[in-house]
Amino acid sequence: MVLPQFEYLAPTTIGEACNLLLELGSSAKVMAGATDLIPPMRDKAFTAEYLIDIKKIPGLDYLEYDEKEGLKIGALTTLRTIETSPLVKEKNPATAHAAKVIASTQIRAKGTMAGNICNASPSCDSGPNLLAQGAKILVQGPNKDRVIAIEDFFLGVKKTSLEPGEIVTGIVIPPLAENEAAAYIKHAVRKAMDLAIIGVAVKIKVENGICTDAKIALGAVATTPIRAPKAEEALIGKELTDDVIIKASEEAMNSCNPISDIRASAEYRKDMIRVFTKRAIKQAMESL
Amino acid sequence: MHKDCDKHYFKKPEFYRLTGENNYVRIDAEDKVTGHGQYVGDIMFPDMLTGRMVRSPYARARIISIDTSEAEKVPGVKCILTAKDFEWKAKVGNGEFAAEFADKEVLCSEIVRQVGDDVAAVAAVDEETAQIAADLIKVEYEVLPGVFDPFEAMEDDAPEVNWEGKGLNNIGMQSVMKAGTDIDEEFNNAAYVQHREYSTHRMVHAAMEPHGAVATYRNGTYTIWMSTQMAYVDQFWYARCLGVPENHVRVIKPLVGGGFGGKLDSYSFGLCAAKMAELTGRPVRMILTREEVFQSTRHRHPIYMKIDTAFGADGKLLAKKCYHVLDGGPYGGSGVASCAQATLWANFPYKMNSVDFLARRVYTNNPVAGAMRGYTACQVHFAHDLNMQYAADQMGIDPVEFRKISAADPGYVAPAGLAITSCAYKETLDTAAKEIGWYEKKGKMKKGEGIGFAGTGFVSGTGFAVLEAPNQSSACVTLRMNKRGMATLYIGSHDIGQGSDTVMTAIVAEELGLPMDMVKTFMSDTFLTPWDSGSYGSRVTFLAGNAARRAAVDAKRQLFEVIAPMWGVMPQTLECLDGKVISKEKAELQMSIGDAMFKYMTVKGGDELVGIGSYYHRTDNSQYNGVNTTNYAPAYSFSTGAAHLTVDEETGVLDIDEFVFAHDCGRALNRRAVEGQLEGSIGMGLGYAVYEHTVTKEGKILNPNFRDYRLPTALDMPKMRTFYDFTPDEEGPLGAKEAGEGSAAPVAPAIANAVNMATGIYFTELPLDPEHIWRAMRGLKDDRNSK
Repeated sequence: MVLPQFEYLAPTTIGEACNLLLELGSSAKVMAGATDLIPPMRDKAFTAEYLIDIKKIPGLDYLEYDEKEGLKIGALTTLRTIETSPLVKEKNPATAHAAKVIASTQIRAKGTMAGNICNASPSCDSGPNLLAQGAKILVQGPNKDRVIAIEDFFLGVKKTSLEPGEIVTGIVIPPLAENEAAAYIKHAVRKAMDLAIIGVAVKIKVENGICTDAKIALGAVATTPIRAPKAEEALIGKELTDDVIIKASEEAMNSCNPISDIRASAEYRKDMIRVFTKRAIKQAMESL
Repeated sequence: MHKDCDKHYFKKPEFYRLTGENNYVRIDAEDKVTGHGQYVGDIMFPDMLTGRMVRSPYARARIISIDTSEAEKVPGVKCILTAKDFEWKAKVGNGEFAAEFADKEVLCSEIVRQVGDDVAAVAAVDEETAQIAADLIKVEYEVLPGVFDPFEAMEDDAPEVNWEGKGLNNIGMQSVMKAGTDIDEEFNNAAYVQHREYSTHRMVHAAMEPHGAVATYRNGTYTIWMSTQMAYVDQFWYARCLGVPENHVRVIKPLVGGGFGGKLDSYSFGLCAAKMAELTGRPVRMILTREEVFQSTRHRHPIYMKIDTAFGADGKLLAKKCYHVLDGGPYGGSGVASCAQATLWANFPYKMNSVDFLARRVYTNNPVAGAMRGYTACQVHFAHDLNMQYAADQMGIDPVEFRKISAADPGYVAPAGLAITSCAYKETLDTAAKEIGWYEKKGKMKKGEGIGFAGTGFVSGTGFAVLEAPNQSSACVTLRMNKRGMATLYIGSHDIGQGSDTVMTAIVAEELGLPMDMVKTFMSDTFLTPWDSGSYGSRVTFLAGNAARRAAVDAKRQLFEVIAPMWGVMPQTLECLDGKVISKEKAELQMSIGDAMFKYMTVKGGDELVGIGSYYHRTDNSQYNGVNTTNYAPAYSFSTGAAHLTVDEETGVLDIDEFVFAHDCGRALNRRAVEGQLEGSIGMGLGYAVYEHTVTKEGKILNPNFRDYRLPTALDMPKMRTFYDFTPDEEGPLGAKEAGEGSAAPVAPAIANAVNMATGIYFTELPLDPEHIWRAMRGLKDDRNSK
């Protein structure tokens, strides 16, 4: 298979990159690790006349933790870096795990978490975790910088709320307090190199034995990663007994309407949302 | 070949330096690990063109017209082929003996019969140009109704897929095997009779290296470097389809990155490369994309199997009837032998009084199925072993004991004519049961936990679909020794990654008492090396290994006949050991092999020493004459697989705690290679059982890539332990039998039997992927195998 011809551009400042992107419009794509760009271009799943490589731009490859703001991940920070970082494992193990279950070691060594969400695949593994943890997406545009809440980031299959000329520069995940915990479980047939049949991310807050806050996010059951508010409501204000967790899992199942495709049927996906919502809540509780 | 080549006094006695200690490495190891090894895709010429095929998007259609005018205008396009370029219309098949059954046009002239069928070919200065031109070739089709279910295909009103007008009801091949006592009487007198049905799905070989060819045409000769399992058979079909005698066609097999049966057929793309090399005068390279490998090469047959079995009150297997229906796709090729062998495998590994087997390979418009690691052994053993397990459970007999009651023994001759030599089937059952901890865990397992066994048998060293003519089925080896004692070995056998070149070298080095690097091996080149019909039917180690040993013994005998008189002793009292010719009787008589060879050439007036050897399985072709009582192979291998696993009842996910594999391969000549083959068999068997499944819609594969067609990864592999120290086979080379093909068969049924125990459900079809198990546990229908 031959990769179609395209022009490769490598700006050295974010401003230059934004301007190029604005100027070239939809014929240009932003490229970091390129792992979601090159294979579909080769397969003619989409075409791009220009690839704007942001890897030459300094200052986008960072991984820091701030007690107030939380975990800060640069747009060029690879999934492999996130997955293997002792800092991430300590401060936010669910995020380390969500990075680790993507594709293969080789792909994670090139691919980035920012790229994973910008690709906006319904089954992307970063999405549910960031959604459950209330992440903020840092964006720079030709004229201004802005912060997009993750809830507002995904618009549809391969569609985000980025405007023409805008580039994601980083991701910020709020810190987990002592009484908070998160978990992400991906359900796939293979243990590596596979796309999620479904994914479930959970963040819970437990005070004096009562769940005072909960966020549940589901992957691969809608056009974007989605929240399951009814499942969250089923947990909030209650002691997390088995019955409560089962009720929440069923709410999560009933709140999604997945499709059947070659990977799994809709009915299997729905039931797996039930099973893995339950397991993700229990896994989060264990790390409290 | 000298009549004394197998006499024991010239063969080395049973103390082996190389193959006993296994202290040698693959002869191609360094080339492979450093990336210097040359596969087809590595072959480059300065003026080489790149070829692409134009393929049918429809499963069945009539070609109305082909317009190549736009493609011809593309700068850099050098050649375009359509059916008219193969005007003599010779068709491609598989077995040379069955040339009249060849049923595939090189390029389709009127009808396309599958999605991905070969319609036209392009050669251009680079791949991009070739693809642009291929996309510009306008083919007008009249789409015809196709048939995608073998049972529908056999109906009177079904479209005729191939051999139109012959009234075959699309039954492209039918095999019958009937032998033994009166089968109705056996069933009437049986204590227990059962009727079961099973089915298996479509799998692909997924060899790491895609199919490919590089062709040149010079001095009236086509030279084709081919990723193939049978260069000599390619030579036959290429000559036939290019319309030239075989002395104009040289096929060379470079390193091959896996075959598994998928490279047993001669394909149109290689023929088009050769033809375009002739027409342009430039080398042409044609490497298939992974999608083409999926859609347009070969698959493992989906098979529907109906089995009726009769047992005695003691659990003894008395008689069996079965009916196998294979979904063949629109062409025959290696699928013809696959069909015949679908009856053969139903015999193994048990004794019974009477058999009545019928297999039909049906033409459909699905992708073509062919041989895959065991021809059809994996499918047939899956069904027939699950059938045994079901009977054991119904009769309330321990599954290991139940299998042992009817297990084949050494020296057993089956009603169908199979003459078993060495056989350690019962020992493999005992080993697997002990090692998996069956007797400790039996009856004590928790809900969702299970242990499953499966026992299978396979041919070791078959002929070309079992023929009586040695010149169609033999393996030949020629050995040259120079004045320094260095041996040059010319072998026709095909190393496709399994390591046979190394084993051939080791057998010769062993027999001649030489270190490995004193034996230089040249292989698989139809103008250079002697005839060998290919890597299939587990024939390489057994047949070519015996041929290599005979060539070495022949060389030794000639050398000893010159040296012995000098020492005043008899030739048969000499031996080659540790680089020397020695007397077995007088320790002071010894000389380096180099000195011995120097003396040999002096005595022989300057002649170098040449030893020749060949081996073929002596049998007859009654298999194809309706009698079907024949001995298919000179020896048979036996295996038991055992899986211990837990089923996640909520998700259907299997957690395989351990897989134990006991394989009777006679004597292992290269322990690491045997372990590699057995572990590889577990991986491929696990893929078959759980992970791999091509999803087709009207003959088009919807998951033709390794993202959606899920081969198990390293992380998915269970803990494995392999056992293979059983009885050496008397006829096998240095005692060896096959270790790479039959070994794939017991994996899926062992896993399935364990899942059955864990869930209490008797699964009857594959694959057992999580959703399939989840559905079965909820009583939901799963119709993925129905089309």
